[in-house]
Amino acid sequence: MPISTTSIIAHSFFLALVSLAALDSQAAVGRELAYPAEGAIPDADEIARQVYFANHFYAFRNFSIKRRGRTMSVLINRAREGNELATAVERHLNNNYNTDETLQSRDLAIFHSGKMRGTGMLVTEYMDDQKNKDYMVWLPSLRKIRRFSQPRQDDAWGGSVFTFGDVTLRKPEDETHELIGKKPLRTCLGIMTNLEGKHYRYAGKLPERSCRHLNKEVYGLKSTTRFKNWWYDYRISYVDTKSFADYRTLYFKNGELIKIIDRDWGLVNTEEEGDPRALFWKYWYGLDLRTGHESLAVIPKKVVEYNSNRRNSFWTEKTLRKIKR
Amino acid sequence: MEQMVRNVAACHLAFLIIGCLQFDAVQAADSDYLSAVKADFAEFTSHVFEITPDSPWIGSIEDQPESGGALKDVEGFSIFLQSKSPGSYIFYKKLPADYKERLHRDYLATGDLDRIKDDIFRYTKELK
Repeated sequence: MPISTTSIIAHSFFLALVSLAALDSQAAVGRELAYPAEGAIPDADEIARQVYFANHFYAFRNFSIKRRGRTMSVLINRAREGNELATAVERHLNNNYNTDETLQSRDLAIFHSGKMRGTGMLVTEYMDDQKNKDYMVWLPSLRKIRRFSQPRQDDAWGGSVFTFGDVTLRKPEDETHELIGKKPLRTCLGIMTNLEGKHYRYAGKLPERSCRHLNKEVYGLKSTTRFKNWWYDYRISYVDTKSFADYRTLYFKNGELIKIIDRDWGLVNTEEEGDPRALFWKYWYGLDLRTGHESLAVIPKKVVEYNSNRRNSFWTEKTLRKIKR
Repeated sequence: MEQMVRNVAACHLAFLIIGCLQFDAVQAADSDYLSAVKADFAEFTSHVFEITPDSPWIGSIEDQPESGGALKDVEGFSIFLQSKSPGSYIFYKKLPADYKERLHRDYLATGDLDRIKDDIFRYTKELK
């Protein structure tokens, strides 16, 4: 049966449409990502994009975990049966680059304790998804700024159980996503039990295990890495069906559970107001089952500030140079 | 022959040490927590949540108000607030039911007890 020219053209057109749709589904996530329409059931790719949106604070123009008096955000790391090592950190994220098409966001981190005290880091993310992030680091001992290449996704973040991929670098298109179900969250979120509710330097009173999210409905999202010989094969995230907060992620290698990350989230406003994805991290807890290492990052509510009137000029090299030793 | 026996013994010792190290790594974590996480995950496939009795990581609505399971309703939230902030509770208990419901909802969303305490005093002033 001969194939007509019209049918070939129609077929090609259909293929082009399918390709465009596929490309669109992998498009970079930005501030413009809309909340799913009411009643719509998001697919796995859409859920992954919404989780990325929440974790990068795209609901805000800017988001700061600042220093307020002696109170700061703190990262506590503990090796198996070892002592805790604490690092106080200040962080300012700016997503307000709508007018400038080349920049997506800028992230400024300043370390206030430990060996990295006085070090500042300015990370620039570009609209062009293929372009690596720029890392500019202020080295207090040299009093100079140095440029570094983007860290690997599997590099440890601040010497913790969390990797750069976990915290910021991993993008939805780095994995394939599959929805494995929907159910209530049944357990409280993890924490370093010996520090639970105790006073700690920098952060003040540390949180107790979070049980607020018990019985909230979560999606089970299975994300399989596209990277070869990667440190995990797939991970399962528990994602809130309303706010897209990922409360828990379980990492698997060769069928074995190897790492757990729990995140307690808080909504900055009450439920009646604003975007349900306008969330902030209250704490992160990580446990590496291969080594027994634990990490806890605590962000006291009083140091959280969002949509402030800071000018974009704050997120420049000039601020790095002003950091006191 | 003697050398062979010695080699086998050394080999067993090495396995024992490696085994102990692996066991220690797992022991460092809270085993109740791990069991709870695994039971929670298993529910995705089995559709059954097998509750570990007395686990401090699993909220039980009936038995453990402190665990947060009771935060599911206003009554549980009231017990929680009384234990965490007895001072604020004095004003909270005089508020109308709709205010209490709102405070409960807000706490579940924000997890910010300081903000809830401020709101209790604000509502109390408003109602005067």
